[in-house]
Amino acid sequence: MRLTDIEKYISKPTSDQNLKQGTREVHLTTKDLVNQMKNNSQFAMEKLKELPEKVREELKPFFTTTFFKERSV
Amino acid sequence: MEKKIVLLKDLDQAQFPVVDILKSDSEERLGCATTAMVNWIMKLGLFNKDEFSNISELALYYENLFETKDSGVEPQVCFSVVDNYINQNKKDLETLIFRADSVKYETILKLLLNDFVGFVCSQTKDTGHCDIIFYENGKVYFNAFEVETEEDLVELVFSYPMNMICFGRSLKTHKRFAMKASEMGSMVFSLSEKDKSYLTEKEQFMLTQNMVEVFCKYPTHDVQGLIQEKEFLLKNLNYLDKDIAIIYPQPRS
Repeated sequence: MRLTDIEKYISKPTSDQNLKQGTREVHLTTKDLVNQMKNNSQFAMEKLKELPEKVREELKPFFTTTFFKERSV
Repeated sequence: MEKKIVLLKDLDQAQFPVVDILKSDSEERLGCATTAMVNWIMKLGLFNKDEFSNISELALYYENLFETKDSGVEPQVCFSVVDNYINQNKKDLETLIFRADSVKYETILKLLLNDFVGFVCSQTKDTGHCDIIFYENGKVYFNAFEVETEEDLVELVFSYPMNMICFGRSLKTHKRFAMKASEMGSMVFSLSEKDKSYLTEKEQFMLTQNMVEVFCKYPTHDVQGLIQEKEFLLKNLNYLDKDIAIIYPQPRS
């Protein structure tokens, strides 16, 4: 596939096509992604429980303060 | 991190990862698997100019490969494309491949901390999703979005037991060299038979030879010093035992 093939995909917009690059950027967030993928099974939480408390404490300095949030599992 | 929407023709000027790749000035976009693949390759610094004259070509090549008759993404199908890429780039790429039910959350954190970029092929409620996960400047990102809590991270990675995760790191930036276990000092680790099965053939060979394989970004560093600094990594990485250590030291600042 060469550059000439790419040009087939890059057509100029017609008058009724609006550039909506800002729209998706504004609405897509980590929470959206998590909600899309969340399975509501216990599998993910089980994985969380497996992390030893000692390891969590040791890793804390490497992550942002919000990452290892106080929680109950 | 800046969340960029980029036109296909502008990919060469883009800062990766990008959130979406639009084919033109309309809203038509390339698939999540293609976007993830382009992001993964670019984050790893493995774009091959001999293979593709620009990044747009790379994107369209993978768009064709990922295209399926049914809409949506299946983790196993996407992963076969990733697997082919890995096999074709073995000399430039070190990889660790897991299915979600066979990997510990702890291992994911350790790999993220050590410059590995993850390619995650996930099931979702409806179809599936592909994206990259990585660690940068103290924060974990999924796509270009900061993952703020570990609950969100486990939901993203472990949404379904059959999710496929491939962690890759460029061998162009992380040199490998080996040293004898006796040069490692007196640290002792345990490694179960199951853990050993996760090692690559080469690593298993090293184990039998009583050798330690050290992965170091800057091999000229004082390895002993780095080992001491990263002792917690060694203690908690379940891959390790008294004969072998797989170390992922960070460069000193």
